Amino acid sequence: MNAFYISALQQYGYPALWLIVFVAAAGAPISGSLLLFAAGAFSALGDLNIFILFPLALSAAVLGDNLGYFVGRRVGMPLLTWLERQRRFGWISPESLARGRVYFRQRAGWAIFITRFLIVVLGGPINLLAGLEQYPYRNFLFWDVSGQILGAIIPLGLGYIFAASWEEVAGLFGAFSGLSLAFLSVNIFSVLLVRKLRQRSRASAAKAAANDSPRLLESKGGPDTDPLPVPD
Amino acid sequence: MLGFLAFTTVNTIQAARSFQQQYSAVKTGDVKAIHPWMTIRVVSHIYHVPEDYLYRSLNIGNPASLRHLTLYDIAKRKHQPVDQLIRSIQRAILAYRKTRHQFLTPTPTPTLHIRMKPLSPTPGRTKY
Repeated sequence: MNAFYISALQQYGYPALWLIVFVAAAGAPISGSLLLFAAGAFSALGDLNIFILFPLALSAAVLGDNLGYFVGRRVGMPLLTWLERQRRFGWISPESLARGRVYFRQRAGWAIFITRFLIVVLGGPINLLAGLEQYPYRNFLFWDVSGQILGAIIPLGLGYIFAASWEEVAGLFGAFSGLSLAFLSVNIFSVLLVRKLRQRSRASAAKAAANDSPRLLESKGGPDTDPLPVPD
Repeated sequence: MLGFLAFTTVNTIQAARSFQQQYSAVKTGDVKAIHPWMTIRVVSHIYHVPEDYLYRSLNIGNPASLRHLTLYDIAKRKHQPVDQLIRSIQRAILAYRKTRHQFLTPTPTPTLHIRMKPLSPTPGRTKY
């Protein structure tokens, strides 16, 4: 599949690059950043111009992200309602879905920013989710453009620097991206686990205290044996 | 979750090793670093071999039409596996280097012809 995209890039040049990056950013399962690595390498080897590539890649990626966002905004809510009604997704409770949405709303900016250049795999779903959540468009555009600047500079730059080894650099970057995702997941999971354990220990401590208080009263002789002085 | 972390760590280490190998192969001009994504122009640029020489050694008639084709596409057009095409290019590069090396290697000059500065007869005197 990669051979096909690289052949297209070599034969049709800039329009092919723009189209593939746009489609990838809109949510298609294509690696747009892999093509940017290749484009960077071809520019170092004299086939393309890096100064044309950068604005081209940035515009294609931002427009693709915007398409994803508006699709999410338009069809996201009806889709979510439909999903909630489906029995086969019964294992996702409405409470956990609501919790997930609140969690996303709190961290949407960072989620949009990071998924533009580091965890690129989640870029498409995050665009849809941002649209679905009616995340303010101005904020979306700000985080999107900021992230996509890095999302274009990193692969183009690395491809340009390591020209003939761009494939291996792209592989290394992809592996590092996977490692970041795993690290982030483990971090979030451990924070949630610690929180849950603390809540449970607090609840059990409160329960134990509630159980202990009548016993304490009984050991002291109970309220009848030693009544509190009644004010006149 | 920890399994996923371990898997991605191992994957990253492997990717780093693969990159290191390829990078050093390219730097030393090792012909094993030729990949199917490369065009003849790219191969010629990396290995400092004339483009025409590569086209001639591959028996390609019209180089202009193949200028933007990757080795993968050229192999497809020639109805042959890409590995075979890469091997032919590797052989062509090695042959080119061999002939060039023979051509450029200077014949050893006898040391008698080297003009040396005469030794100073007076100790401490340097200008004559």
